[in-house]
Amino acid sequence: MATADDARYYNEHDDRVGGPQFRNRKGRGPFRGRMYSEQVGRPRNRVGPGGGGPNPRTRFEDDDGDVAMNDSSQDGTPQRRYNPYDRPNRRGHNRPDRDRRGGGGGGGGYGGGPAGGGGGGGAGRKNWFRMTIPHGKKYEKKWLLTVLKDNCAMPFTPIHYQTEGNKVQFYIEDATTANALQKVSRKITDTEGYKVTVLMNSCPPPAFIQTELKPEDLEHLKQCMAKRFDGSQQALDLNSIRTDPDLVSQNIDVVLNRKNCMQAVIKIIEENIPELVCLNLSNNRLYKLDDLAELISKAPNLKTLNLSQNELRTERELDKIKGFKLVEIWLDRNPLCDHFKDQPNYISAVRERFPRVLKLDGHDLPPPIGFDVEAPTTLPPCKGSYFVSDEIKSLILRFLQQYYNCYDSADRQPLLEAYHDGACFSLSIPFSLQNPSRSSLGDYHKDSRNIKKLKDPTTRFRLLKHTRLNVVAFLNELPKTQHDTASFTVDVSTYTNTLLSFTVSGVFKEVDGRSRDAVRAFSRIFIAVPAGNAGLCIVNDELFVRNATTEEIRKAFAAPAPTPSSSPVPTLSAPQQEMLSSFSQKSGMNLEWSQKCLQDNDWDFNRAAEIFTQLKAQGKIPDVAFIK
Amino acid sequence: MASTVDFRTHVDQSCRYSEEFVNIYYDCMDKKRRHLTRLYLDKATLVWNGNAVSGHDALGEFFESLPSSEFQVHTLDCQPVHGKEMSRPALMVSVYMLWKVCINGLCLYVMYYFSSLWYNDPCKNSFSDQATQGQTTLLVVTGGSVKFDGNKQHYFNQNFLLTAQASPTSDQPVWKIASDCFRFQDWAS
Repeated sequence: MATADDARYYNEHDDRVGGPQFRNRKGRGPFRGRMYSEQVGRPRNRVGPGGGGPNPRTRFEDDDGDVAMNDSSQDGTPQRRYNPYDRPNRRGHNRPDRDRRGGGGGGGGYGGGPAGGGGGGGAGRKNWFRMTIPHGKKYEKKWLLTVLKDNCAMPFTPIHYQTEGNKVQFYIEDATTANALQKVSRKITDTEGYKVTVLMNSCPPPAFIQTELKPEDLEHLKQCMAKRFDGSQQALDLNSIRTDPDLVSQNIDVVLNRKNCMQAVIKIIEENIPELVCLNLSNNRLYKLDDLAELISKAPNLKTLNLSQNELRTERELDKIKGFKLVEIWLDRNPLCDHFKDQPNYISAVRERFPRVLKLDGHDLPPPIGFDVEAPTTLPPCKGSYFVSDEIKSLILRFLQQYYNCYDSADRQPLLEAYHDGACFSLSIPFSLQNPSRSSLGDYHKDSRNIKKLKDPTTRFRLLKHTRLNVVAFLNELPKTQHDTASFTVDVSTYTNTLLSFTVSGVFKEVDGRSRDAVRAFSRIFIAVPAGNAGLCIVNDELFVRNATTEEIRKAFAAPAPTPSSSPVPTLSAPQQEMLSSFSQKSGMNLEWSQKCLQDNDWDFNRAAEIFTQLKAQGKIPDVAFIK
Repeated sequence: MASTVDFRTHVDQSCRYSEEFVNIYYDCMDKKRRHLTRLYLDKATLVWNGNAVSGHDALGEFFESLPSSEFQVHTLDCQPVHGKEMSRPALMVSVYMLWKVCINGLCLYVMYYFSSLWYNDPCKNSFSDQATQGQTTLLVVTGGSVKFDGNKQHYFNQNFLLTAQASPTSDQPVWKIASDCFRFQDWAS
């Protein structure tokens, strides 16, 4: 029986680069003949990034048996019982490998070429191997895979099985499994008396899992997913997505166990249905959940996940998706289910990762009892204006009406009357690293007083406008505006017999200059003192301006958006219909929005087109307008 | 009338005070929430997304009910607030000009009526008379983003009126928040 000493023995004689080599000699002599391909797979020190460190426990997670080709379980079921500290199929190895770096049995070869660590595989445990069966073409696929499985020490998932010339090739994503498979070589005799040879070559992760889907394929996939999405339940059914007729007819191969496909699906969910609550991923040959984990932050509301009928080998896969706060989960018909000797253990393992789960494989579970350590997460509801009293409300609204009438006019000079002699005014805009000349708030940038970023006392002083003459002179230089008084929200924070302070927020439009029609949102604090019997006199005025959001623009200056599912009301005349379809085609917007645009511009095609182009350039048109 | 030099110093100091205040306030809000009410006057008012909260007790309860927060302040502006010093001539001008601006007599009468209600009625709000009656007052305006636990991130705008108060525990006066107005930029959605 080989001992750890053998490793040292090997070191002395091993002149290969890459550090000490540990090998599993399996009780055979040091010079047993091997084929070249075996040597390539020899375990090496793992020095890669990520989880690839020389951590024996890391290796064991991979080694817990690969997934079987079909549902029938391995012979010798008792040995499949889940046990993290032993490797289930160790014919001939009866020594714990815990203290061996890189593990025994072919664990730890690095993918990629001779250049040290990294190679094409890069990240730690994800190493790919291409298995080749020369002359494999003559065998029936089912027979070949069955016979390989029967003889292989571990179950495996062949990826991208294909024939090339006379040979059969497929990929294995795991060194241990690949080695185990390769050992089957020449042990099987086919019906004609020839021995079946299995060759193994490490390789970089194959292109087909890396290449991103083409944009047009993504579009088809999005449509396909849209069909499979139930809005009323916020549920997405991706069961057997690979066989979806829409995708098959377009020759799009969505194999969800491939990183690129899973990523594409996640991106579509993130961009279109981030409030997703239920997701069905059954029947997709998923054997690992690493890529699915990316969805955790993108779909925070996910409560139900169906992973049944996949190829998940161990419950450890669930650790990767612990971030989902699941209430319902389906795991049946995965190999991992066979690992549990009884139901309570199964439930317990699932609850360990998902403590809030109430339904497992369709069965209700008794609700868990928790501890009340949860801190509050609900915020008080947001309300509209706060005026303190009706008198104040009238006073302020009256004031604002007069103020903005003047402010929105061609000359703001009359505002002098509204300001106290010693009034102060300053302006601020959101902090941005963008070059001011390219920012649409460029007009305001040079006068923006942000003392968090601005440290020079002279500048700080200069940017504060003092005395009403300076204040109003400055206000007159700001872009001409049109305020949407209906959008105003007012919060009265101080009210005494000597002081009234209130904050107004809302939106306005610029009516000339280079940012004509740009919609801005503002927050403005007025501090005022009573002005005799007639109203308010402003002593302090601070204005904060930012760009309005699409939502704000929609609510303020445009009619509310129509829901994009119904077709437009057919009360248009024939020429209008024609203009509409032409406009829709040229602009790319759906009929709903095209019609709105045309209507807003009195069915003047050119004007509508101009407005559309302008708004589009400013990024003001919401994406929903383009969904057909 | 304050001279320009004094005013300049006043402005410089205001900037320094507001910078310090903002650091203290948001640090307290994020990490020492229970102590936050100490920064407020006894009868201060908070208007939080349209919800009005007044007085130490109510404020304490309110802050307790908010989830833990992570504030990031991106913009800060401040202004010294003028007190009651209003010169007579200015007052006369204001009255006359505002009258001129009114559209019709009824409007003027309405304004007169309501403003007289306000003007004659002392202490409408329990906020103390100390506000700007010779007291140093500071307007602090902030903007940035906040993430409350369990909620998505929001951009916010906030402003404070700080007033200098004599402190029982030290010789120097301390700043206290007399009013606080806070709103999410997207409160309506």
